[in-house]
Amino acid sequence: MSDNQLAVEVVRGEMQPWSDYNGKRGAVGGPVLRALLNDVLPAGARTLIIGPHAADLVSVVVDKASSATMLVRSVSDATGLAEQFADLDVVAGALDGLTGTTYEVVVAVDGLDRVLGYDSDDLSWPQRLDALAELCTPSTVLILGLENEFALTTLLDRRPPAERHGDDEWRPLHDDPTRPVSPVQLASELARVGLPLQTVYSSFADNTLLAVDVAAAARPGSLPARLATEALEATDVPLLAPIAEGVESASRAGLLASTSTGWLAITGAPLQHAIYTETGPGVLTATRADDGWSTTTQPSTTTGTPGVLPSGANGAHGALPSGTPTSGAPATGEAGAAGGPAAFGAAPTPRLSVRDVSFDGSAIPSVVSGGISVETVLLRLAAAEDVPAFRALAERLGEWALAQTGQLVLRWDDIIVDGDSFSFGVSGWVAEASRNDLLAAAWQRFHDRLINTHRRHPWPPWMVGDDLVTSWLAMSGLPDTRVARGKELVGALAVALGTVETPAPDVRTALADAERAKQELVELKGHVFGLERTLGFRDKALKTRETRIREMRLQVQKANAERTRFRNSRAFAAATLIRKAATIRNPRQFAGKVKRRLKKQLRNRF
Amino acid sequence: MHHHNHYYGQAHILARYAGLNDEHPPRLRGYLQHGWNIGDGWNPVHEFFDGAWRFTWSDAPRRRGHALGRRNYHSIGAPFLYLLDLEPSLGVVPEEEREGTLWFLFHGWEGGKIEGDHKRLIDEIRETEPGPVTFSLYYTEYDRPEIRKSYEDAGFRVVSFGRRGFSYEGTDPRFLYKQLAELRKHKRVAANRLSTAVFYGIAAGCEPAVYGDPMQMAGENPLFGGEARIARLWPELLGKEIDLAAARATTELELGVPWLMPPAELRMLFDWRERV
Repeated sequence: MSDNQLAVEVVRGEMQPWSDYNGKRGAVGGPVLRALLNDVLPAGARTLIIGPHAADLVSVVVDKASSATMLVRSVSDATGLAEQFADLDVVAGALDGLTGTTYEVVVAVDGLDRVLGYDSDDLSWPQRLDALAELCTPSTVLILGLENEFALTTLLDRRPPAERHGDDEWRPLHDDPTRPVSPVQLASELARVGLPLQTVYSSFADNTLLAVDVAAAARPGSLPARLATEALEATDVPLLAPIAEGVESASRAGLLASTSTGWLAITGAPLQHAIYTETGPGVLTATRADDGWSTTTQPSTTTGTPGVLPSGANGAHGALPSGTPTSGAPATGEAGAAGGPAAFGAAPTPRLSVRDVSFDGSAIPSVVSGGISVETVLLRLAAAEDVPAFRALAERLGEWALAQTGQLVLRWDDIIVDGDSFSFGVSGWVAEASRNDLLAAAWQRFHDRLINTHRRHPWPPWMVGDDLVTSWLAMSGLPDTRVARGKELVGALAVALGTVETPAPDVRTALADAERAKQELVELKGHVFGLERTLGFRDKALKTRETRIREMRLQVQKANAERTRFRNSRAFAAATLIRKAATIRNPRQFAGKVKRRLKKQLRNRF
Repeated sequence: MHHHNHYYGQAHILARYAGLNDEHPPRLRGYLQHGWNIGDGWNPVHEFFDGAWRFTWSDAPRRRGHALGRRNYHSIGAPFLYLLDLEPSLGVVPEEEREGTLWFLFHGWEGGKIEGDHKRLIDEIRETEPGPVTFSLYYTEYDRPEIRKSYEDAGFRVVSFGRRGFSYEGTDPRFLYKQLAELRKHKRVAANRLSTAVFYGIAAGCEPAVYGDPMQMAGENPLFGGEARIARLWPELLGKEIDLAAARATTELELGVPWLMPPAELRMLFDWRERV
């Protein structure tokens, strides 16, 4: 018969052939979500996972649950999961095909967009939530993801809507008018089905989670805004404009929570940390403290080798080029199993090396200032063309930086204006380099971020590059400092952060690049005109001098001719004879000599 | 376009519906689905040229094709539905005179022959069907005397509607006309697999049944999930006694009744409009 011999239970609505894991989008996963699940999931619960979740998340659930069931729509994905997780009951099929029981915990981090097959009914998002609610009780711990249609990455996506969702959208799920598009609407939907919301996180590409109140209160340059920017800059969405500008505008408007890439709603469990973010090979969590943030780090508990079920997260691990040497092995297991984050320094911190930089979690302060970044201030001063204030700040930065110890790579986007001084942020990247080179790296990174994003500044184009960095270093008290090593450090840091410049910049940047090239052409044409003009003046001056020289030469020739004529004259000969005759002192002796010479000449003649 | 478009005379029917010559139907700009299946309307290894448009009967094949990375679909409804519109009286008999069962054996094709226990199937049909049975064989089975004779010996009337053709040759353009006429004479339609003919029968007013040994065909590709998937998705169409209302509702979707379109629109869709 034409049937497949399936090794997993199949319910109505399964897809074959199909894979959510091997497609472009991949399964949801990554260390940040893993850390969140570690904090949120109760131990010993009957748990259901719905939708494609990467192996690192599945393993957390399986470790914590008394029994774990997973529903995926693809038969081949289900088969792979069943082979990989012996303690996991895997069901292939659609959400509306799974009925008959309820669960104490439901993990749907991937959301409700990949839970139906092409043969399923056309269920709206609320209808899919209804189907999900049938599997829950009012006390169920539910972790539910929701993609945001109003996300900055969607608003700035340069692809037309029809090309954004690949093969997933045989029905236009994202056009669903009943779909929640804000945390408030999401909370309302959950309340409607009897699952009161306790916590909502704004998710930024699954690399940074911010509690929505934290995100809403974030202002440009603050820690939440910086983390959101960093997470979004690492995404691979082709953009119309730089994402950093969008984040800045949204945070100024108090809309950062509304423009994240998605949300994670949690019912039945309280908030643990206000911030989760990927940092190096681990995860940094933060909670509010007086005028700042109390931070902890959790070493990554995944081996990073998900095998047949690769993580879809676009984090630092995923961003590293293949073959990038790494050192040290991430810690495994215990931190997550213990149910809480390891206090910083209490557990060995994994180290990750990328070329010249390596990650040292112990370098991150346990309390981070809540102020804005130095970069934010510098950019404002540059835009205002306030060079004196820029110079004064650079001088203070130089004094502060040279007085620090440790090997943290200086980056003005993670140094915080802390009253009259400065303090370090949450970057744990260090490098073996002199303090001068670290300072050079800070200015080089600032240079790249200022210039590459076409921000306004007062420096002429021919200064852009090493001259400008050298000038800023001089403002910081380091004249004549070489910038080559700083450049290397910046390049290595960009690789480590996953923000290496992409071959295709956003459209606005591309247009600005083209405009800048055009402007440069105009200016260079002007420069050539100026040079030609100068050459013309010089040429004219040369001609004047040439004429003068020619005139003088004629005068000299005339004088020489007169002199020759004079020397050939009889008068000159007579004068010469007289002059010589006047020099005879003994006429008798002279007459004798003349007589002898005459005789000799006569003899020779005859 | 592709010679599959001529299978069973489907292109001919659409040309006639569009008001054009149906003896030599014009070139159809794309691929026309020629049978119901649980994939995207074509066999899993069918080759399409880049940028080809695919004209499916209904939306489900379009959705499945989208998941396969294919685009440029347009659902138009099955040509058989257009034939029903064109031939409202062909083969029609008074309702009370419709009798017996038109039974379709799952058929092979030019590249694959079916294998199964025909004797056992005959016994089951005899036990099940209340009236006379007309047995439809595709020519690949009709031309195999050992198969045809086994059904004739069972007392069934054996018919074949002709050939679907290949490379524009040998197509019987009246294939679906003959099938429609037979269906309209019978009270029931039955098959050993849920298949195109069952949907056609329901559309022509028959009571459906799907039962018996589904048999096997060499080289069948279970890529889309096979019979088990059919059982999960269309349980209302499997069995000897089927809820007619539910069957008709499903048939309307699978044959694409909501996607039927007027002739003028069809002409434009197929690039059949006259240009001045």
